[in-house]
Amino acid sequence: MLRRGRWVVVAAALAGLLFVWGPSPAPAQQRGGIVNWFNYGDPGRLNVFNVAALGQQQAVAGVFSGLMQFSPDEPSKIIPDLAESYAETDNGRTYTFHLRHGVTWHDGKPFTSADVTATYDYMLDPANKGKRCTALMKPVVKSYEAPDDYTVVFHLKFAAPTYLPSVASAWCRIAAKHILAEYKGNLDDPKAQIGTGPFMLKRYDRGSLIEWVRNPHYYNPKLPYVDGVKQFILKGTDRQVAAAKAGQIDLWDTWPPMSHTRAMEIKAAAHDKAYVYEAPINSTWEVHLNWKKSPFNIKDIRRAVQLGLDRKQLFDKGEEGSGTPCAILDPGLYGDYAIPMKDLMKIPGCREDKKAEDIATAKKLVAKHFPNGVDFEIVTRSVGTYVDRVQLVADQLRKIGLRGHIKTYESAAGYAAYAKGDFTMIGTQDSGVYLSDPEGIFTLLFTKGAAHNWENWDDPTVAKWVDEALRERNHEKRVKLYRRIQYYLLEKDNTSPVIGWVAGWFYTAHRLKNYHHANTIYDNNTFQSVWLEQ
Amino acid sequence: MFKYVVRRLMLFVPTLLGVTLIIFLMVRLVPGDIATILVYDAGSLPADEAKAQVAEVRQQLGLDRPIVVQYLAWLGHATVGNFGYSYWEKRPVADIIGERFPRSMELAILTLVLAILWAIPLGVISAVKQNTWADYLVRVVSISGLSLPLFLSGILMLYFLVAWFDWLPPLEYVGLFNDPWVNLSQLIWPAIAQALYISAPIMRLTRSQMLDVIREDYVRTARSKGLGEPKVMYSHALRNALLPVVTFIGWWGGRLLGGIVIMEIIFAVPGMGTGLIDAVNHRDYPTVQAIVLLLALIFLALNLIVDLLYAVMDPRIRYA
Repeated sequence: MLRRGRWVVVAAALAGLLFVWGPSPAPAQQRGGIVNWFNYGDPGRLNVFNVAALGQQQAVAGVFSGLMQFSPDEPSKIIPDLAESYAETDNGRTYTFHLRHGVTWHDGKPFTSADVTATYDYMLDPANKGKRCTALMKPVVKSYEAPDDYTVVFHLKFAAPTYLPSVASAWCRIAAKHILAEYKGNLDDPKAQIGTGPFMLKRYDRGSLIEWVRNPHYYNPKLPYVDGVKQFILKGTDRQVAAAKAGQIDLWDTWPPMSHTRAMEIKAAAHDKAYVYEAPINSTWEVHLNWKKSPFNIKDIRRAVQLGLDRKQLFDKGEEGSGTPCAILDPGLYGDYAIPMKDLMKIPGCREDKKAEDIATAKKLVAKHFPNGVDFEIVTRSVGTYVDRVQLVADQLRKIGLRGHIKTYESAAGYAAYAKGDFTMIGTQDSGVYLSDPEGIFTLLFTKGAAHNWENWDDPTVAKWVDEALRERNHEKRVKLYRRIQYYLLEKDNTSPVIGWVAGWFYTAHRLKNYHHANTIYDNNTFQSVWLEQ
Repeated sequence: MFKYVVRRLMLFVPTLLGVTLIIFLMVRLVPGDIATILVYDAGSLPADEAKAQVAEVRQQLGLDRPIVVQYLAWLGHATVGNFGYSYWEKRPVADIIGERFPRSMELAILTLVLAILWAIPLGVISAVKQNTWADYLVRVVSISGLSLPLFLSGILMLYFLVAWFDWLPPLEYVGLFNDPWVNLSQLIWPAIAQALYISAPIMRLTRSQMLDVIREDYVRTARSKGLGEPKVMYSHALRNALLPVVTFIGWWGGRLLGGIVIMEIIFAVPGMGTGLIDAVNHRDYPTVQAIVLLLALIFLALNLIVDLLYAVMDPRIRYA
């Protein structure tokens, strides 16, 4: 009896020790509180299907749900959203989504498959000026149908590995059929923001505030943890930094990313209440050479630009070192799809140890055609740090005999000029992919008709490989294809030499818990699983 | 007097017509129109598709019509108070103005009141205490206020508040009638920052006018009658010295409207200034035209009020 009692005491002591020294349980999520966030501009329009700017997308990001979503907890993972599950058949050419039962719109009406088909009817209607989701879906989706209220079947033109990431992307949300009908597709109206998302749009005080409140009927009754989210409309970095320093905003995960200097300022001002971090954003920084205009109609001159640009120096001076020089795909974001840094740094034009040699070759290539150098116009849009950056680019090119005379455009006027091919060289441009898939950057920059292929460059080899990669479902083969395209673009001739992949600095307040930086600045803006330490 | 006011009001018409014409042409001279912006937004469409969409949007908005037709159509509607529909926000321009105008006016009035409240007394002190430390201090303050660009004084004000008080005015704009105290805590800082700038020349002009006036015979006479110095200064000298100052404030008040734009952006006040900047950036022609027209009207009205104040302040002036 005594012996048994002794064992009980020992077991209790061990249990006590485990309690004290054992792994501590994950802190319990707390409910309540308001997340204070900011929007860099006044969105003006709210139709998530017809807009392209982050400021407009983030305005209603928490209001709508998609069929699938990128996991807020693991940003690379695709998880169900309005679809409870899905099945892939016909070798990836058919996707059947089984929808959740009991989901309601913010106005109380039930969500069914008719809403999904109505959304796709709207997005793919040629009369609709659809932007990002339309651009993702049009090339891939052949047809769709709803056999019953809780099933939707999509038939694809080909088995596209990009389809599911597109469905999960922040742009491909589902709208209510009755709202689309009532507002005749004008979803810009704040009253038309009836979604199924974790939050409901409470008010849009133009120029000042966008406020969401918790959706009490969200399909996951445990979420969201916070009572609401406030997006203050703050224009200009000075105002944004001041608000961060004063602790008025809980996170800075949006555009524009901060410079290292600004981040350190905030860190110092916030004492121990926030932490700052560097993360790649979904953009490359590149220059564009118009191959129809002199001097870039000469292959050697295009090659000279590839060799003559010192990408590391450009990032060091133009972006305070934030970014990955030479990367067409960032290794941190795209893993094995990207060329590893050690290999990237061996490529002529990218290799730091032989930079002088590459610059000398570039000089020779220019001198071969223009012994006294050549003058041309180099343009940029006057946004962000572009005007500073273009001067650095012009300065480097001048050293190899390419004398660019800078002209700046107001943003939209610049895009209009680019679209008309009315430029000789675009001295700096970021191309932001809106899909967390390696395909994004290639079909944005390097294929014929791509949105940022303003010089209308057409390389059949690149087009063929990009198309192959787009259709390839085997991961290993796809990796090989994308690596091959990257090497080709860095080593051979093309009109959009990439300076590198852009990164930036961000911050979150310590009181904000369970926030994970997403792979694109568009994703994970729903705040459905963050919580605030009270 | 009545005839004078009527005549001045009638002069508003050609002036405003001129303003509408200039602004109508100027916003269209800026490269890129709303169709371009809507379609090339973030450069997200293939070039061919985008070109077709630009043409379509232009047609929908009537931007493909001859510019004279566009102008006359807009003017016809504007004369009956219909400023059209915002291309960007897709709602009546009158709603945008109705929402933003009171906020900007509140900020402008607060700024002007603050500026006058300290500029005139300090100008008087500077004149009365000429070549003393008080005079030097006031002159240094006024020159500093004038030398600092508005955007810089605004940003410095923000950083001062953060660095010294670890505080900034609430980010969420609160209307005057919703919570006057919070509203004041939001608007007082941009008002102070801008008042520093606009008070400087008022202060200097008050000083120089006072220096002239206090040497006049009638001031000497007032003193010789045995009036106390405060009475001499404020009843005899200041009243006469203020005449040109009032004119100047009327003219300078117009400059205030330009500064409001900068202050609204820095201090996140959703007023007409930020609305105008957004409208210009989006080439939202109806909104730009309506806001500029309203600003021109305010400027003209300010000048008229100043002229009328003249008669009140100087009984010798009569408008025939």
